[in-house]
Amino acid sequence: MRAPLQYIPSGDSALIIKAGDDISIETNGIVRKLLIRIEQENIDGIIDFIPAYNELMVCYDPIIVGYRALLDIFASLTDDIETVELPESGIIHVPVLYGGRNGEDLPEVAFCHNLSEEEVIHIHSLPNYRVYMLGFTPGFCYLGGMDEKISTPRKQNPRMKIPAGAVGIAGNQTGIYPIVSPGGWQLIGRTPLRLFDPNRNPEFLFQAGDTIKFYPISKDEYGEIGNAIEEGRYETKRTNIP
Amino acid sequence: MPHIIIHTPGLLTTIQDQGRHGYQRFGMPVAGAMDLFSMALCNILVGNPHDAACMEATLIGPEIIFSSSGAIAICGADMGPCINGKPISLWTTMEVKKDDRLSFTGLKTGCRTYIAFAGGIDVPMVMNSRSTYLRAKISGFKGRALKLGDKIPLGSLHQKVSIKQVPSVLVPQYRAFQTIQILPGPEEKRFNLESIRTFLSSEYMISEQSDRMGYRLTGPKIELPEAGADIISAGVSPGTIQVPGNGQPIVLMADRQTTGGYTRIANVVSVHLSLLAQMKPGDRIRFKAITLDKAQELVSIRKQVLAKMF
Repeated sequence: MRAPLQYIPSGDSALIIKAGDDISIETNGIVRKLLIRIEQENIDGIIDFIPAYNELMVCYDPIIVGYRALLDIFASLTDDIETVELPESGIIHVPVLYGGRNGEDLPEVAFCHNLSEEEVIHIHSLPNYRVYMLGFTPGFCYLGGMDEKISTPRKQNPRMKIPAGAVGIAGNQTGIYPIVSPGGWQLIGRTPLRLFDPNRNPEFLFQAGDTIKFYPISKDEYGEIGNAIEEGRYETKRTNIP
Repeated sequence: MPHIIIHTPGLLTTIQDQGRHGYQRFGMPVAGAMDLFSMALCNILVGNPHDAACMEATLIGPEIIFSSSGAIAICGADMGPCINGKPISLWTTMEVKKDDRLSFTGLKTGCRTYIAFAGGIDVPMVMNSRSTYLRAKISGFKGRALKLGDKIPLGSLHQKVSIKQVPSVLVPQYRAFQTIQILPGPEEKRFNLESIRTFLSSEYMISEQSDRMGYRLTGPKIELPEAGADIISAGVSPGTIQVPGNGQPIVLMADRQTTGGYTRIANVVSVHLSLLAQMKPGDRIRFKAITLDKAQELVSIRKQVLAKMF
């Protein structure tokens, strides 16, 4: 038996449905199920959702629907929440040009763990990573599943400008910068994929619940994929989860 | 096409509407006007929908030249607005003629002034909103604050705008010290009684490190819960008050990130967020807790007031 869902107000225009206190596929799965179930209902007054690791924030307009009314609606929607089917997105493959100018910290990460650069690349591109949630900047994915063998502390001096597509490591997390931003992550490579493009439909490449896998590419391939994206003829590589 | 030319841009002048809702699950901040009440009022005064895009000027107003006649309204901070050098009133509809020049003599009260143009500002919608989000350089006018020489297209006017005025009882009083109403936040129970007492009984000053993203406050240190300042990263709302490791609270404003990893001690109530948005670095606040029912009632009352006004 799972712990019961907890409902917590977050100001007068949002509430939280908490599914647990941990970071796990199971708890995060409940968050996804809540989002699917509630969104299906098209409840008047709900204007936005923020799914996170272990809770779902529901943003609403209190003029249209009050806190208590929402709790009543949610109570009837969530008693069999476990039965909601989660869509299977398959694996989204993310090409990465590791090292060199695009991954300046790869030697440092390798040195830190007494590994070769090739070993770091191998360890980083082996697992299937789970997109637990998005946040921080538009399109930034909080990924779970990195091998602790390459966990590396953040840089002492954060960089002022990190390019879009940079792939980095911070502690036991790995991630991709979707837009140019400052940051302290150890940069090990760069993907030509655009995680966020306001002029594309859909605007965002990933969503919570996706599974992604990195694969190393050469400088030439990086250029080719970049051109294909520019010309609108690139198709993101997807496979089924074996 | 009617348009305006930016003669001087002011300190930070951006195009904002009610914000970009529906994309927070992708980490896309809402942005939008900091003071939604003033924004709604100036739109109503020129016959626009409540949520049409306006200009938000910060501390120092812009200088604007009109290409054709029309109507404008200015609400929010009093920056001493003038047309062709003659002072004009806030909180009322003003007619403007071709080649008129709108300027501001200097800040008197508040922090942000809103300028609505009859017909609205005709910049493209990006993800259902015209709000500028500066950090990702998207929407508004070229994704940035306005600059000298910018030519901003306005929507066409289909009918004559009638002159309206906001009743004086509805005009907010901006002071350098305010009591800001709050609700207990998701992690409030993690703090001990002494911490909550410090938070609710102390004065906090709005620091220089305050912007559209958040207001960093300085004042008596709030002792952290035993579990520390960090939580598993999770959603935040407009007005969420976080307590990071240094015990100095941060109030999250329009350009806040969608998620955060600090304890959420409280939430500013919606109707007081507009008031807070008109406070500037150096101003002081004190918090007062109210109930959720009361906060939602205040939202309804405000809505009724706006609906009845005209």
